[in-house]
Amino acid sequence: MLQLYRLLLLLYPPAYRREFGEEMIAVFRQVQRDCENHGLKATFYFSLREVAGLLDGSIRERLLARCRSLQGGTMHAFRFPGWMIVAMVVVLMTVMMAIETARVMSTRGAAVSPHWGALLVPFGFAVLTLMCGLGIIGYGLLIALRRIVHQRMRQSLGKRP
Amino acid sequence: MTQSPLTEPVLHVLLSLAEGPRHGYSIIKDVEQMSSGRVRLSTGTLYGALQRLLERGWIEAAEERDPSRGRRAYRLTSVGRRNLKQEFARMKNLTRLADLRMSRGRA
Repeated sequence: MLQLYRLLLLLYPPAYRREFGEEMIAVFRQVQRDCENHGLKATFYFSLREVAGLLDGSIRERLLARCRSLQGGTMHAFRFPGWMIVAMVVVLMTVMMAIETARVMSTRGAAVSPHWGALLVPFGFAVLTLMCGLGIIGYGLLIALRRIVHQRMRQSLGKRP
Repeated sequence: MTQSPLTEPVLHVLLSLAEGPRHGYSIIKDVEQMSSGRVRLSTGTLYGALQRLLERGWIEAAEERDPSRGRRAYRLTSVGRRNLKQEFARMKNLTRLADLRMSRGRA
């Protein structure tokens, strides 16, 4: 039975085995000795309980270990890279420049062609505003998604034992 | 923050440690005795519960692992004791409510 116990312990994550493996075997041996004194039936039920406990525990620990690694990976995946911040600053500056250009042109009385000049600036401004709006919406969605994922992870890991 | 109820094995482990530090084997025996043989913890269940309680800081290792015997003792921390008290308060409220409702049902 001890050999089977050692074998089943291999189902646990290595970190868990390092932390508790030796101790679990020591306790198992003590309880096993007690049960052997209480007859065959007690030993049989004890063996069943231990096998079930190890299988259940190993699955649980594996899942928890997977959740922890997933949580770390998700946090990394949802961290905004530096280039995104730079891109957003560039978009913002472009929008501000377009606004300023439009303001100057309107005060000077449109030096460019009345047809194109009248269309180009509002069109560019609309495109940039749209891009900016989409960027803000996307940014908001990413933050919301990040919060949801973190909350779910915290719930799955933070369930009381 | 509202806490979800503790599972029975965890509650028994905490109760066992409420008196003082215990080793794994001692916890198993104490829980069995406390519950009149109804709750028998396997080592897998016990150490799963201990690990989660250690992670949460509800319990701590009371002494260094004894390499010759491969075991160590665990004890409740102040956080663990506080949470255990909260759990009892919750259970008392539930029992009181159950008594009230059941007596109303009979009337």
